[in-house]
Amino acid sequence: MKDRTDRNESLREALRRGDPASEEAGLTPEESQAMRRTVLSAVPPPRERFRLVPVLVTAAAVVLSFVVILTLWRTQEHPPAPHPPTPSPIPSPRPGEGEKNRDLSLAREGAAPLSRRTGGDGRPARASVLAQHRPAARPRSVPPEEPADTPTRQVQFSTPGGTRVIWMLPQTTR
Amino acid sequence: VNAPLTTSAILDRTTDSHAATERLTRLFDGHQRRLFLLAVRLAADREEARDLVQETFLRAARSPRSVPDGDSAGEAWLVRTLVNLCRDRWRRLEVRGRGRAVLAEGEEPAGDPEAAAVARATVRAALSTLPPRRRAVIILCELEGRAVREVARLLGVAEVTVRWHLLTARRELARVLRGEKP
Repeated sequence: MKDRTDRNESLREALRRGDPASEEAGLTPEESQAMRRTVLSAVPPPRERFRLVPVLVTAAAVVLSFVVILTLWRTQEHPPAPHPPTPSPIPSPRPGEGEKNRDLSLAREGAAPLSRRTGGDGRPARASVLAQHRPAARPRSVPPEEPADTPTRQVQFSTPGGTRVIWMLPQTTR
Repeated sequence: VNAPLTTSAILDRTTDSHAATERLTRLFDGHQRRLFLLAVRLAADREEARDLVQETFLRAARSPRSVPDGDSAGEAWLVRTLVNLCRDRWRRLEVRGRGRAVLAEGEEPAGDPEAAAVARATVRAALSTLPPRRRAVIILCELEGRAVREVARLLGVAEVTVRWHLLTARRELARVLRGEKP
């Protein structure tokens, strides 16, 4: 045991005698400063993109507020036109209802042209049914170039292809 | 899940960066000399020791969050990093076959006939035969006079491991200093 302690002591003595750092005073001030600069410059800076985030968030909020205010203002100034009611599908005449519908049509339109009522080549009759069911074919005002002394009647209807037909008829036409 | 990106979080990041720089400055000023002396004892020469110290602090700078808070814990982290760097370098040298300096060959620095220089060269060569962690243990215990418990804390190992390294290192060094091959 004593031998081992002595051996350790002599080893420690030998190590301290030949300590590689025994005559080392450390880094010189120049070395220390250079190393410090190198080390501190290696610290990662805060990411650049995060600097713009508050600005971008504020700008987006301002733009969004402006858009909302503008939309509300426009809605109050110009209320949107009511949507025209969707045309209901043409009901297929049930047996016995055809006559009733035709009577109703005649009663509403009064003295409509004969060709329209009777169907003629078949197409006006279809248009007549459309005009009966579509409120889009509502009568419009008489054009101003019409002489005021010749009263006219206006009949509008739409064809199945979407063409709107306007008939201007003298009041006397039957 | 990423943390929500709020203004305070962004300011915290900037503040964190500033605080990291300050903490690194404190670590450098407080420990660079002690770390350099340890590196001189661990490394083959002064230049290598300087490189090791710089690389150690650079690692702290690149990942400031990995350095624990507190002066004592920060010092332990620096010592462990230095020893690990020394170990990496030692392994590279082993792979290249340059390996261990053999004292038995009687290598002495030319042009330095003084006994102290011879003793330093002898001890350096003897230390270089030890693996880095064992070398660090014997340097911290025998040359710096630290207690086993403190060495265990600095190196992040158990006390029994330090004692085992110390025992083995003494035996190997005694054999090398007697002129036997390691």
